[in-house]
Amino acid sequence: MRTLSADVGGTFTDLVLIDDEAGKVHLDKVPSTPGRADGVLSGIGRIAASAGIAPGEIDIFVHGFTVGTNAFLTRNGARVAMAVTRGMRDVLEIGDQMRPHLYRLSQSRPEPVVPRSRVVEVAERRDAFGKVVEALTPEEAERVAQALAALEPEAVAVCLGFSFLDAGHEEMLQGAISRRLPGVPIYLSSRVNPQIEEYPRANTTAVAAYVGPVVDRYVATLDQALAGDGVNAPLRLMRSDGGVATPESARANPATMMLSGPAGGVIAGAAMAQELGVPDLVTFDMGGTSADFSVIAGSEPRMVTGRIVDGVPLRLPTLDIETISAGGGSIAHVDLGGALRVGPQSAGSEPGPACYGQGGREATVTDAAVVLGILDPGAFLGGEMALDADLACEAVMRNVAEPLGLSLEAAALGIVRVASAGMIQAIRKLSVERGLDIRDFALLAFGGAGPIYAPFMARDLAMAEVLVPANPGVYAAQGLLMSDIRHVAQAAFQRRFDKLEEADLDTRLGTLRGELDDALAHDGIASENRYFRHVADMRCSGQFHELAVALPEPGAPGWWRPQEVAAAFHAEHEKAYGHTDPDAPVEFVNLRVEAFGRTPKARVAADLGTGEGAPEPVGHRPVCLDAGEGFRNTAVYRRADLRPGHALAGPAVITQRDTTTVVLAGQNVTVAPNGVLRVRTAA
Amino acid sequence: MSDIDPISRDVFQHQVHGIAEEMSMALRRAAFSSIIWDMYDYSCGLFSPEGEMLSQAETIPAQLGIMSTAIRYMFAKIPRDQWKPGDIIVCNDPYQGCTHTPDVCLFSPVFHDGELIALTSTIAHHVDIGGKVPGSEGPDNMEVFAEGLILPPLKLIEEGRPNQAIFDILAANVRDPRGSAGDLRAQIAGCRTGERRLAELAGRYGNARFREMCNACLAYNETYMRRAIAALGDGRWEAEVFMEDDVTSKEPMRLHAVVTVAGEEITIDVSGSEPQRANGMNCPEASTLSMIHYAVKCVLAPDLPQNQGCDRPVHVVTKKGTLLDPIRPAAVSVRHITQQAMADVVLKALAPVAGNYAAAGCHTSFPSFVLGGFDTRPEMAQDDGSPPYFVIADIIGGGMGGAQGQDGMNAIDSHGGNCAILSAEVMETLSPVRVRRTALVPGSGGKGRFRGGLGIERDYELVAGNGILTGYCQQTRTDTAPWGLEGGEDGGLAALIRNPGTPKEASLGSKMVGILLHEGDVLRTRGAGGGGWGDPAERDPAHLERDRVEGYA
Repeated sequence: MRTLSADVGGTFTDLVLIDDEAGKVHLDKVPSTPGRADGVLSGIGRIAASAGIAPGEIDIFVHGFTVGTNAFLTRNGARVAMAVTRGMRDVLEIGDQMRPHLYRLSQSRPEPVVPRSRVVEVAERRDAFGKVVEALTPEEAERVAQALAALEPEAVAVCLGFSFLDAGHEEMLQGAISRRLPGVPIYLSSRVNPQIEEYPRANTTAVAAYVGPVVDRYVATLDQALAGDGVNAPLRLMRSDGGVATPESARANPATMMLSGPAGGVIAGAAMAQELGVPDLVTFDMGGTSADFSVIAGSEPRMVTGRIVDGVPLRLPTLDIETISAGGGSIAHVDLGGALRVGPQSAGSEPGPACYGQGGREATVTDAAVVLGILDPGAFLGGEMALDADLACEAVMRNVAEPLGLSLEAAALGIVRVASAGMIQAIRKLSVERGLDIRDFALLAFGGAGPIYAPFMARDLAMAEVLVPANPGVYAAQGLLMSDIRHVAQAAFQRRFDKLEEADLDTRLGTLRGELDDALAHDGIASENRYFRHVADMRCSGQFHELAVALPEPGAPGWWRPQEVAAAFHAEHEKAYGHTDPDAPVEFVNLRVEAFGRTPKARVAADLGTGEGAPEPVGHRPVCLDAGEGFRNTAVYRRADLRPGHALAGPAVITQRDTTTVVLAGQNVTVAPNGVLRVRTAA
Repeated sequence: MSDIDPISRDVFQHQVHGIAEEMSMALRRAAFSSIIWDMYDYSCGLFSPEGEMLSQAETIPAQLGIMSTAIRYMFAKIPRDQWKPGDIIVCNDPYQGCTHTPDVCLFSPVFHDGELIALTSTIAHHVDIGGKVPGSEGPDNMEVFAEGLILPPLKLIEEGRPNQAIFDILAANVRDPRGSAGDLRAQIAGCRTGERRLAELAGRYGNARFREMCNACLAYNETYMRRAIAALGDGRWEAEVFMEDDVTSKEPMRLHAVVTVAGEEITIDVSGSEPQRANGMNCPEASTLSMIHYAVKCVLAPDLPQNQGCDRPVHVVTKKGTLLDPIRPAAVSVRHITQQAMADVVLKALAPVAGNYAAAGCHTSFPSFVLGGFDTRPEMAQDDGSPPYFVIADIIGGGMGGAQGQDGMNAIDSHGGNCAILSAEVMETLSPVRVRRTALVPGSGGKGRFRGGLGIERDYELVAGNGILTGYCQQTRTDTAPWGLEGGEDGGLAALIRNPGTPKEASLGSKMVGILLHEGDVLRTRGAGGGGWGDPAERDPAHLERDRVEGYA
């Protein structure tokens, strides 16, 4: 079979076509066309042509895109109207009332996605136990529907107080609204995020409505154009939780795709963990403007139940990814007190780093790599784009070396070290929050810039090794092809273990699972390819922080053994916080079921050949990797020359079209059977 | 230290800051109470053995700024050579460097290779520490003894062994012993995280180098600050603001600041402020210092990662026996409203020279709601059928001042605080208090070319039983309203109102203490709006139209 993925990034769209009949993997990169499908379409045309297949011969097409995310970040989403319980009108305006910056007297928060002029209050109320305090009357539902319709929305969000305990009022409103506004999508908070805390729930629901129509339009256009081009493979869309969705189920909650951008790399990382038998690793994807990190422990990507995006909370199951604005384009400058700062300002791709010669004058992280000899100005992107080393030197000299009284190479190394320090902090944050000891982890580096910086960072973090996959530049796109179809359903279930009825628990889990089973059937997944996971958010009764703990497979008589589950909770608690109170009663907060539909995956075992000892370098050039040593004539290897079994010692630079890998003095590289570079500190 | 290059220093600063953030995560995640988990009312910092702050997790400036003063007192009571590995020192005495009694401060030494290399500190606002009213805060308190348990510097943990007597005394004196114990344990986890990680860091650098790095970081911030001060140019500026007392007197309380810049040094003299009064609004010395340093940083170096090198060129003059440096046993439990006003007066004095960092007056109204009692909702009954006791607290925000180029932000907790508003659903889950309404107050932002931010109004209803209520705020009168700048108008006023919109409606002034609320009673708190910046006539018509459409004006 032939499977195709296209992963749209800010600058490039990466494509991977796996053809297991021909035993070939094809890779390509085309410029992105933000918000439009033509970049993807031309890429598909190109990669199909180079593979010598007709578009109609593609069996599955997996697509990762950031249309929704961009619409949200740039506030170019749909016109949304929102209905909330009386007294909650300003829930999005007020947010958590915290100011983003402690010491700035003048600052701002991102605009709410629904302005207060389009929020309609509803006369209804439930109490904290889900009981009706004020009933929603049919007349009121009609009045609200009419008021919403008058706002001429493209989508409607509904968020009523305590609706996560009982969705009755929200569903009644939905009926009334859909009669007034046929065809307009309606998002209920009790579906999108049935969970306590009105602000994150309302915001998540509002964002779903805000990006829904935009994503819909994009997918519809793409679908049509694909059909026009003869591509009739089923379309799968990447989600933030690492699964894929059919367009139809993505429509039900478009917010689930909001953070899908970096997901492909994490999925590929989890597969790598299994393949190499390196179960614990940190993925590190660095491109031109940002760096993404995630933790894979026991070969499983870690999940979180929500994230802050652009200053506002989105509460949806998401891969646990930390993103910071550090990339090749990050600008270095010296502040008033004489400290070197790197970022958060970025030269982006326009004008880009000084060495691009497109008018950029600021010293960037990429310029530093050119100054140090790590990047070969004549071989960037396989030689398609010439870099100007003089401009890089000039910028680093002017912006950093002169103000700090440092040599040019010390300044450039300084930029690398300060940029790395920020990224190291992001890794520590991810791992420490989870109670993991990072020294046992490998650092899996990809993206255009990851393999340059990873060896520095791994050394400072005392991490076990750095892994560099065969095609770091399109690694995330490869990950898309490894994902299964995924659905998640959640319900609030606030019960102490010692006070709950087992039948009640069974019913709740059964209902959730039933919904998801139907959804998988609807996606066309045969029952033998469906599998489920049951998870619950739990906490010590009276405590605030919840932990997600896996539940045993429910259903069989006697499956619910509260003492064992409580013990598992306390073990997790001990791990995460360093202490637990085993006598404290445990309670459920939310129940969650995750459903997966296995999809067929094309696999090609590439013949990589074998090597032995050290390969022949293609040459040597002066490279500076250590301030004390200055420039050293350093061996340069071509990645294509490295075969499984080869081994080499640093310092060295390994070049390939889409990235450069740095090997520091004292580090050794071996090539794994699957072609992955393993960079380890020499014993 | 001359051989430390700036790059190594900056990398080190990143590392130390990361440790402070890790402490903060460890503390918050282990916390029991909503005031920490939901409202972020806690702080973590790292210090040199001399007590200078090396880095902080950015949470509550009012707490962070007192830690170094407190360390001085700790050393006076427990000399440095008596601090042993595994020790944790506790203190909450406002007259020994701490702030108000609910802010329980912990300190611990960090040893590496047998040498004291650093200190950690965590502060958490415990929802109750005993005393006259639930929540321990009373604007009408006359002496600090009404404000709950006072712990002088004591070894809470001695070389790893808990001093159980202190835990027992604490449990016997507070209204929520389980929550307090849990939060204290979370604080200890925070300190331990800092100790472990700092020792690791020292292990990597070696003690001597570690110390040099710390000194280089402090010196860097000092240099930055000195340059920023010098850029202001020499001069003398002064300002006054008034606070509402409404407990001992209807006469407002005057805060006064004279700011003098001479070369690279800045002096803030607040000794002309009101003499101390027999109310809970006196502000202990450490808290005064913390807010003055906060205000100076806002105007000179808001983006500079904080360490105490910033404070070296800053001199503060207070006068014993005044509101800003009271003599024991003056009550201090609501010193935070005085702290807010103190930041305000220093910022007002500096506004003419603050350039791009200037803004009109921010709300400092601090509308606070604390209720305690029995939760008689049937669903909450304990195993023996009795209702549980509850204490619940909330703080709502107001508007920031307008500034050149930018309207003031709506709905924020200002200056010394940065607490989140409590979720209405969480509040009703934890207590018999239903939030009926949370809304921006239209028109509360002071008019201006860039208007002030809007205040928040929140209605709390007690849905079962009776409760003892403490509520207070500031800026309820035109002579104390957030001030406009450059021709902008003053911000809208704060208020406390009982049973609004009913025949029983009553304004409660700016302070109310120990009022008994009954089932069905509603309390409305309202935060002030921010002052406006610039002539309102020059406001961009597009902004005016938006204010109208969105109902901001």
